Amino acid sequence: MDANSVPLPDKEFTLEELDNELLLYHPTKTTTVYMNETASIIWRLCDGERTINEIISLIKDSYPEAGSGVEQDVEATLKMFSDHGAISL
Amino acid sequence: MSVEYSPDFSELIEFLYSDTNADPVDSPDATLNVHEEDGELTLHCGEEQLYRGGEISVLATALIRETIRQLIDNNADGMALHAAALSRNGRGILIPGQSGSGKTSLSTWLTSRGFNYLTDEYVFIRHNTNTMQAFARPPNVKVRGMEAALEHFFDMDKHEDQTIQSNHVAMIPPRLLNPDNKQENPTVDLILFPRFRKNSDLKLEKLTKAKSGLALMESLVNARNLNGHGFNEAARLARDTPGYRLEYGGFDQLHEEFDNILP
Repeated sequence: MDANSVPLPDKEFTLEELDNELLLYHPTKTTTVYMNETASIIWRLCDGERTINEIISLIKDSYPEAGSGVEQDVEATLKMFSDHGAISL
Repeated sequence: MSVEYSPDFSELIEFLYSDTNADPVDSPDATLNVHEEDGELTLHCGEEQLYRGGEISVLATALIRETIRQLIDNNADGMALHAAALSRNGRGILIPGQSGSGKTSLSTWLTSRGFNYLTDEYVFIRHNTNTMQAFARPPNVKVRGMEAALEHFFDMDKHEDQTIQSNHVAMIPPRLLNPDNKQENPTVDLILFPRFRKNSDLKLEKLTKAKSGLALMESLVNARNLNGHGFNEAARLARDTPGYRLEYGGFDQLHEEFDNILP
């Protein structure tokens, strides 16, 4: 995964926020994507302009308690988004 | 829809439909026809033959299956869910799940806990409401054995002439499982996603609202008829109602911990 690439969210997804988690639904692909609280934060940072590195930096700054695994968590989450077709990398 | 039948089938039609809360319609979208041809039982929907044979239990199952299909087919007024439903004092339990998840067994077992059986198959929830309308399908239950949900509290021998029995399975009219004989339309107060796994330990997990919404989407059977495929409605119901995932290996496990969450 190129950390300088920009994740592009698929705007066809409909979003529902339930407490601190998200559900996304794509009407054509009939896919529902569940996002826990962490994934929801990452999703909201995928604005079509931020690079993966910028997303990682923002999370580290905002959540210093997140520790050293932030890069891996972000990449794993973005891969999950990509596998569901929610973003393109 | 409507059902046309020759007089010989009056008793069967009474058995299958007398517990439903059906409103009369002037112009049905479809007509099911039940009659006997050349000594065989037949079921047609229009010109299409859906069953021809000698087994009343198979005919009954085919008739109910087609009835539910017709209820779902063009329904765009709310969510149609593959689910069981029960009620007690106007409060309802919704039990969504695919075939084999244990809906029928769990719902029939819950009647021994004082719940009114509403359905084990199909629930309709109109848009922007949390009120369940259930199609009171007579459940097919195992008559004997470990998984016979009713074995310890329902006298199958006593009610033999009121059921349709075949191959160790009995189709039981809902009125026999409904102690108050109520076919009410309760609010959804609890959503329960069951999974029966023989010999497994009891696991009762409260779901987050998002996980509950995700699971509801999997049981939505008329999604293609709805705006946004019913996504927003499923999320709304999940937001409003506590949901639990229940994995169990036997009815003897379903006591105190489970009782605490029941309405």
